[in-house]
Amino acid sequence: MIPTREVYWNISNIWLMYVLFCFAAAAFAYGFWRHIRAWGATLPADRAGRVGERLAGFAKYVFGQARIHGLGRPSRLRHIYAGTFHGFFFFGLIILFVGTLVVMAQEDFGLHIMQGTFYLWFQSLALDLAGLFAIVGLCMAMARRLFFKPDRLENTQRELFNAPVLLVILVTGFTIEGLRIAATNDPWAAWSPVGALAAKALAAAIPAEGLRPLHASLWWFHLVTVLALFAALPYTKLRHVFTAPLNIYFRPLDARGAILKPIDLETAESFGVKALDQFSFKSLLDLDACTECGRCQDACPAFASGKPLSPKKVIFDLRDLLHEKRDSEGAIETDAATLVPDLIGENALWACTTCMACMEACPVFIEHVPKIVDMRRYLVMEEGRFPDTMQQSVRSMESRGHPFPGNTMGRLDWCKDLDVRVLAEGESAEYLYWVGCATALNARNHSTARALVNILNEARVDFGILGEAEHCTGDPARRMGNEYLFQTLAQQNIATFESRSVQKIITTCPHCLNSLKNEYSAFGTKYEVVHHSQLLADLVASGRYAPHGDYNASVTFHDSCYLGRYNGVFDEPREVIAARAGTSMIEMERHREASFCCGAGGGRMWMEEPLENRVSNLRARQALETGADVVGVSCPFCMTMLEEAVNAEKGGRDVRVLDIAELLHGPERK
Amino acid sequence: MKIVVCCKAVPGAVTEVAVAQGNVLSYRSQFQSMNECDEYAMEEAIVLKRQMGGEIIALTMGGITTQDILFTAAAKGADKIVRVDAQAQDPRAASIVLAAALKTLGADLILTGTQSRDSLSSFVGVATAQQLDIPFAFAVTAIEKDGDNSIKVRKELGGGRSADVRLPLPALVCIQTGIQPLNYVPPARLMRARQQRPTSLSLADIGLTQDDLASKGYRIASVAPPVRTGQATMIEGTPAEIVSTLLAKMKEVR
Repeated sequence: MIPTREVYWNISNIWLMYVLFCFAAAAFAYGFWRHIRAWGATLPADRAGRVGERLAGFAKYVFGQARIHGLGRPSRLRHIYAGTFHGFFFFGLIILFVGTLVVMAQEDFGLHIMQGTFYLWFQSLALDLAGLFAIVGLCMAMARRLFFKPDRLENTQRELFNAPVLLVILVTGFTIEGLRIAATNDPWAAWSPVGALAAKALAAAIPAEGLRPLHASLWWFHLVTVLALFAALPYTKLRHVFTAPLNIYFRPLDARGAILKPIDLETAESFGVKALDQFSFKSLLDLDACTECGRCQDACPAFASGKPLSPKKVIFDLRDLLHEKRDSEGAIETDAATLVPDLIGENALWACTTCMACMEACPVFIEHVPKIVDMRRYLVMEEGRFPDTMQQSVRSMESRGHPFPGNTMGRLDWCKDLDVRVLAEGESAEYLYWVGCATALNARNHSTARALVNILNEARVDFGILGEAEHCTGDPARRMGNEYLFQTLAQQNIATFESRSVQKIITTCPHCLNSLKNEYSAFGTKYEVVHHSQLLADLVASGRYAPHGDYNASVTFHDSCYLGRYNGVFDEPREVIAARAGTSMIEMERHREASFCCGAGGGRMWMEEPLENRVSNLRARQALETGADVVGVSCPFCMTMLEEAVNAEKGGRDVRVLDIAELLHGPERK
Repeated sequence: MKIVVCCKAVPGAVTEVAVAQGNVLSYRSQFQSMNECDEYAMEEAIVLKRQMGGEIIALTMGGITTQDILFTAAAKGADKIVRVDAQAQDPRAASIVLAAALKTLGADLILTGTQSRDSLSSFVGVATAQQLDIPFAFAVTAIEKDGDNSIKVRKELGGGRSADVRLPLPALVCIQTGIQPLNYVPPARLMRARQQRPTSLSLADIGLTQDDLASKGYRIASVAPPVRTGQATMIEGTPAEIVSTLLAKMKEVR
């Protein structure tokens, strides 16, 4: 006898199932049709094409669940428990769904595949185990929600509904199977271990003549529940079953640092995003892809320091507005409310440091930062409405070419007594050392530049600087939303580079690095831009520079956002620190991709922060908890923020904040 | 009320500052903006227009590149923008040019800043009033209408005092900084303002010749770079060492 079972055993009037299915499918299709209409049909250029890369990522992040469990990532980004239960019901439900397709192939398409070995191994055993794992996963998820819920999760009513319904579906599924096995004395029951167990229990509890009627009624109940869930999918967060993979497919593939796209100032009719319908396809898809896991909020330095910003809430609020402002055909009302300040407070909008921790944490590649910058762009470009202290910085960039109002330092003050060549027009060197305003115009950072220059001279690197011809890259202007000023400064600097035939650039500032490397290329430039950590690591590795003497200190290294998360430079600064004999490394819990901002990014350098709750002080405490003697940094902004904060928080301890160039060169040598 | 605001384009960070032929300053600068003191005059003009109606004309003098600041003025709210195509670093020559242009344009009220960031002479506003032979007030912190043909202004006096002064129109007022908050000009509005064409007046249009611009005895002989007097020293060492060094330094000073 060939192993199989009778499909729709004990069920009559099966036509009713098709009728019910049609209703559910209509509700499902209408729901998604409205979503898709609202997202809009125009795909930005950077989201089309590169299909191979997109599919590879799709495999990794959808089927590999790489960002859900976060294996191989720093501990802050690892979620073993959630990864396990999500994996259990993700794969469990996929296998069960395939099982349903097999039934469909058998019954509706006449493909007789549900028999023999395939029936035993897949349709019986694999499906049984899949159901079991899915149940275990759901129980784990519900237990977390009920007994040890992280703060980032919210138990809304909608939330508490999804898992129990899925659980009811799975449990009734096993009950139906058990009843069938018990009533038919299924000879292959052993291949369905959970079903067989259920059969045994049910047979013991229910009289034999009760099995069939109970089976039939439970079967219909199971069917109706499944179809109800199916119909409800687009209307609950379970829509992420479809939207999250789609969002992963359309994830940004360009360098992280190139995520802000330039506005074409000549042709644009309006600037930035004032209302919902001005967001791009992916920005709106993001909203419907959200799984409400709250990991973005957990990673956010603004939220951690009590600012009125939560990236999660931004997405929730935008999503709820999107659903509210759609008509029955999915089109967004064009007069939909102004987003800021009606939906998102100005204080929340300006609290973002653009550190990218939220986007790094998001398992489905939602892009919070570009949305925030888009809304800033509207406020600044169209209305000129932004915080006073930032306005002063912008005015300074406009009139003096650097963002530090009131600063009277000269750009060559730091190197008066050093052997540094200032490149005049027409002159060139192998490397241009781009000093950066925050290094040249801030006395504390002079010793970083001096250390670097001394090392470069010792290693016989041919380099020059621009001196007074150097001006802000425009990075702060761009993060503040002033795209016009950013492009003006970029064009000026590009002209300066051209007049010196610049091809390779060294920066000490990760913000300059990011702009010169990832953002200027939109204007057709092709420079090789390296951060000093990269060049120093290279000089040490190739033996061109050997540090002088020991420096006995335990060091913890603070990854700056624009070096690490933006540009993926994590190893080189650590190599530079390790190159100095006598140092030992202690990592903070939040390091590498999981690093915590110093608080200065996104133009926040020019905002007052209440003393008691500064991002920089939180970070300083994290650094001090390691017990390290030295907090290593590789960014002039991080230096300013962390040195002040470490001094405020260190109490009686002797802790220094040093740039990696100072560490390598020797902090005692000037 | 026809209000003319005189505004000057001033350089930002300058390099290669030197005395050039003709005893004028030469320098390089990649940045240029509306002189901040004049910006306050512009903001006050906008408030006055809102109260009394009329029109605002922004007036500047200089080469073609200086018309950039006129777009800023237009974006802020000037109805008409005018540039006199003339170069004069000598403040007295500047006042002659402005007065001639103002005669051509006609004005009930002329607003200027108190000084310009680059030459710091605090002279052009007052001298222009003299050239036009009209009343003026310097360092004004408030303006209000006083009947049909005059205004009442509050001007600063020494020692923190102030005085209310009546001026018959037409009059010239040098606006003190801070009279109104400076509003940041949204780039979008600036870009739209760039679509309009400023009126350009040549010297001949205002009845002057190049000779009128000749320096009246004011000649820059030499220019010196800024002297940095700030001598902050960071004292390093253990807290005990820092304290003893600090004490020693204090004794030294005493």
